[in-house]
Amino acid sequence: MKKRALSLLITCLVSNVSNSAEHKLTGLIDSRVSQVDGINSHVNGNYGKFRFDEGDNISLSQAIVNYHLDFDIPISLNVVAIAYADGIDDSIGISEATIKYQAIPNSSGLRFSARAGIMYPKISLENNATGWTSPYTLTYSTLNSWIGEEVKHTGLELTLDILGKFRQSKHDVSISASVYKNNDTTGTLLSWRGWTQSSRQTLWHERLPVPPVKARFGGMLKHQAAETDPFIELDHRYGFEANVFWQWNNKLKLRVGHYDNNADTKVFKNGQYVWETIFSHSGLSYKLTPSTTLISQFLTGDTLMTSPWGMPVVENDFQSAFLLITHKNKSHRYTVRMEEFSVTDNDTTPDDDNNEYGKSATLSYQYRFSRHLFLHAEYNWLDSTRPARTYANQDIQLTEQQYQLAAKYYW
Amino acid sequence: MIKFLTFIFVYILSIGVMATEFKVTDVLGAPASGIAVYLIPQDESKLNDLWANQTNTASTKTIISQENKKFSPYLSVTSKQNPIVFDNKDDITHHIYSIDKENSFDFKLRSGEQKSDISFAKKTTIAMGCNIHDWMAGHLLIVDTPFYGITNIDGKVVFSDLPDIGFKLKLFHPQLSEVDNDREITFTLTTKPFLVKLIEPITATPLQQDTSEFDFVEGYE
Repeated sequence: MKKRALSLLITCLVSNVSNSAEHKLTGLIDSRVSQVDGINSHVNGNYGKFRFDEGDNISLSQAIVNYHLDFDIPISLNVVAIAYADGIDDSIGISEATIKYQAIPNSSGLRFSARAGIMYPKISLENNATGWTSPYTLTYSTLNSWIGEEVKHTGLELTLDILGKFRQSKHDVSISASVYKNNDTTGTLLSWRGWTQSSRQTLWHERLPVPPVKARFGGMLKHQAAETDPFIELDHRYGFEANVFWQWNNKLKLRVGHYDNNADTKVFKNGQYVWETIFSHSGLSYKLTPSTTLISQFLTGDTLMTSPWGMPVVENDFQSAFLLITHKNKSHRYTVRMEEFSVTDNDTTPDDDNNEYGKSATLSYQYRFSRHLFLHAEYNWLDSTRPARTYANQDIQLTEQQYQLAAKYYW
Repeated sequence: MIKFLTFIFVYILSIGVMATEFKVTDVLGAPASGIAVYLIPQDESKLNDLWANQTNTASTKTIISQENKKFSPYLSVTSKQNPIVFDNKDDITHHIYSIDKENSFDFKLRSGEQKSDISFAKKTTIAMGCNIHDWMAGHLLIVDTPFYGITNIDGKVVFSDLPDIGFKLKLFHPQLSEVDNDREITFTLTTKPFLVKLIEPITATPLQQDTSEFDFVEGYE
């Protein structure tokens, strides 16, 4: 019965494609020259906070294709594919794939929509451009870098929009709730590696190397695989996520939300532990003037990994916040971002110190040559204290700096 | 005798049809532009006669454009006899809808396309939006009289060929107060402009402005 319904749906969609669907391809090509003054990148399992290794690097840092298929019925498909050729870990694959239904608002301005597939929960106020990129900076905040690295899932998201314009109101409200799977190891890298500042989103097929935490080598973490699979499903339980988004008068956007992956930490398979990760987040975007915008986000939560018998092994609290101000003057855009972040280790597992505290400052300048072409220069300064770096014979207290020059072509 | 008859004829004609100017001002006396103004006979049974005498005036199309991701004009007024054309001048698709329960419609209009098969049976107001670009807002007023218009930048609207049968003037704008939208104003035909002053302030018309400041935004928020 299910198969018949599915084949009917597919036939219906395919016949719709040939009749009246509309295809749209958009994307981004982002090539960069970078220099890092610090240590080698976390992308290869090191403790470096940036995406690129120490020294100079020339890269195709991302090539993004977004395929959008819009049917005449109120259903659309969206697939985002990304390729990285950065010489650190070259990769190509799918980042997002969703099917969306969006109804017409009713006479009170209420509108229902539903989205299913591989998606990001609605958290970031930075990453709103093609392929979940940021129009403001080359690197994302530590907060949103983590969302891009470990907080994606397959799920069903239901949204109710309340459009104010039909009541002569300047307030728009959007309430979303999701159930999801494929999120069981979320929190692994945030614990063992800490916050990073990246522009690399984890692709659906990718596995990410775990840093050399001492307890992994004969200690309490010896059963952990060398790589974590951020989107694996092990406990077959649904996680939950909900958020409220409020917009006022084209000026203010405010979001608060809560995330709970509702994981069963007693499950352990093929070197992958299940982590129970719960966090709350809030974000604000405010237009100070028509050309100056302030964006700020805050995220706080905790994560727990236990033995198969339920004994806590890793128990961490984490927090990250940033304040970004961006100003546009004709073809020029200037952006400043300040950040503070921490991980607090609450367990007593030996040789696994996850404590971290850090601050970061980002200066970014972008010049728009044409509608599509941007030249972007950025400086990142990141100072952090992380005792775990001694496991790799690196300094506990470390200041890392990154310089990048990028040519970005949005199409 | 012929002179006298000519005089009588010209006299009757000049009473029968007059160009009449109306000026709408806000509470402070400044011109109120973009306001729909329409006239209905005080004796509404005369509506049919009005239409009967209008047969020689060709019905004009009402064009509602989608341009720069905005409804243009923001407010359109037309009679139920006139055809309505939706004209997408943008290089992207719009998904236009009405939220009116009795006159609900929605359709996708691709770049450069027009749609002209939507009509309305009776007097009504329609609030419209685009289901892809939520900031877009447009309104349509359908009247059952041939005498309607939108005030220009000076707050003025002119009706020519107005028969002297006694009219009530009505105003409409989505941002007018209920008091002003519900008002029925009686007037006598004179050669002087007739002044209508709003009773309550008009709130700001929506800017229909995309809140994002970047061209390549994909709706992640």
